Amino acid sequence: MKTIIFAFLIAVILPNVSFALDAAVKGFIALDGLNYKKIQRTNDSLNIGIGVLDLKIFAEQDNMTAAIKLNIDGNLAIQNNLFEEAYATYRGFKNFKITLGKGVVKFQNLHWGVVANTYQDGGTILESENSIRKLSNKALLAIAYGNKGVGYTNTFTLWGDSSDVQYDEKGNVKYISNGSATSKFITAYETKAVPSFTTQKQLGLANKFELYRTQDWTFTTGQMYYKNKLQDKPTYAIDFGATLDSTVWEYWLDAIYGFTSKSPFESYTTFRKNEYFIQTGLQYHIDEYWSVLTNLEYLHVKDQAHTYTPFTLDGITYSADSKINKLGKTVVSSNYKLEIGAQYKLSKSSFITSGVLYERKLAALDGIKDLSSIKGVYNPNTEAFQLLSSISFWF
Amino acid sequence: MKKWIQCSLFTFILSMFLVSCAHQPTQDRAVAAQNSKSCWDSVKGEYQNYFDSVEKCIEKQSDK
Repeated sequence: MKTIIFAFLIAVILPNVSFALDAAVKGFIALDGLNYKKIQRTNDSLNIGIGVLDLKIFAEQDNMTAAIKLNIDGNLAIQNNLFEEAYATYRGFKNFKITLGKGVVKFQNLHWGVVANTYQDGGTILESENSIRKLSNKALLAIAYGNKGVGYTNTFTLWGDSSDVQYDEKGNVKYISNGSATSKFITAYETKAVPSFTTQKQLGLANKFELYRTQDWTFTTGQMYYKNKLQDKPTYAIDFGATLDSTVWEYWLDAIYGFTSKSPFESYTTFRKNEYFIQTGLQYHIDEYWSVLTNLEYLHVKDQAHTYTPFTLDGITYSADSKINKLGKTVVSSNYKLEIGAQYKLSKSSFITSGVLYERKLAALDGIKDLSSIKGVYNPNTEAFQLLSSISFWF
Repeated sequence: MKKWIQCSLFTFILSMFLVSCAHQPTQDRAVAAQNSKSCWDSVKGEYQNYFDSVEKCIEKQSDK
C-alpha cells in the first residue's frame, strides 16, 4: 500500500516540476544550377554549387527561446566563430521580448533581390564600397515591445563588436607589423575574438520601429550609432523602409543614409565616409506557381582616406604599410544594379528562380574620372552581367 | 519485484499523461493548431526574413 501511495504521489508531483522542451532545426539552402558571370575586361565564368547555406537550431521552453545559427561557411579557426548567432529570448512580460547573446542587430529593412543579395549583405559582382551593412556577429542586448496585435514593434538594441583591439601592459595599442627592429610598417591592429563586449572600449546603439498598417503593409524606420575607444568620430546611419506582403503583390523598399569613421588601422578603414543607398523591388504572382520579379539598387559612396604620419614608440619608428596608406585621397563611387527574373514554385517550401542581373560601377579619384585602376577599389568604371538559375529550399 | 515493475509502469504512464495534459489545455488545442498552421503557411522563402518568420511561428506555438 505504501508503495502505491508513494507511486501516486510521484506521479502527481512530477508534472508540476516538468517543463515542455521543444527543439527544431531549420535551414535555408540555395543551389546555383547555372551561374554565368561576365565582368568587363575579365574572362567570363560559369559557376555551379552552393549559393547560400544556413542552419539554425531553435529550442523553446515555456517563455524562453534559444537559438544557435551555425556559421557553416565561416572561418572556424577563429574563436567563437562556429556560430554566427547564439542568443536566448525571454517573453515572460506581456508584449515584451528581451534578447541576450550574439546575433544580428536590426535597424534596416533587408530584402533579397531577384538572383542576388542586397548591397547591404554583400550582394555584388563588382564589389561595393559601402561600410554600412547588415550588422551580424554582434554581441547584443535587445528589448522589443509590441507585435502585429499592438500595431507596431519597437526594438532597441545595445551592441558591440565580437572582436576587441588588444593593448599591452602599458596601455598602448598592439599592432600587427613587419620590418626591422627600429623601423616597422603597420598593417592592422592586433584583435581578439571575444564572446562579450565592454562599454569601456566600445558602444553600439540601434533602434528599429515597425508600423503595421492594413493587413499587408509594414513601414519601418531604424537608426544605428557606434563608437569605439580608438575612433575620433562615431559611425551612424538612418534607415526608412516599406514592405507590402499580399498574396498577389510583394513590394519592398529600403533607403539608408550613413556616415562612417574608423580608426586608421582598422580593417576597411576610412577617415570619413558618407553613403546613400536605395533598394526597391516588386514581385507579382501570376498564379499559384508562377511569379515575375524585379529589383533595383543604387549606392553612392564618398570615401576620404586617412593621412598617416610616422610615429616613434619605445625606440621603434612606425609607419603605415603602403597597402593601406591611400594618402588622404577621396574616392567617389556609385554602384547600380538591375535584376529581372521569374520564379516557379516547385513545392510548398522550394522554388526555382531564373534571372538576369546587370551591374555598373563608376568611380573617381580626387575628381579624376574614367580610371581603369584605383588603389584599394575593386573594378572601378566597370560593368558586369550575370545569368543565374537557382533552386531554393527551406525546411 | 513484480509489484515494483507494476508501480514503475503505472508511475511512468500516469506521469506522461499528466505532463501532456499540463502543457496542452484542451480548449486551446484546436485554436493553437489552426493559428500555428496559418503561421507556418505564411512563411515565405525570402532569405533575409526566413529565420525571423520561423522564430515568430515557434513563439506562437509556444504561447498557446
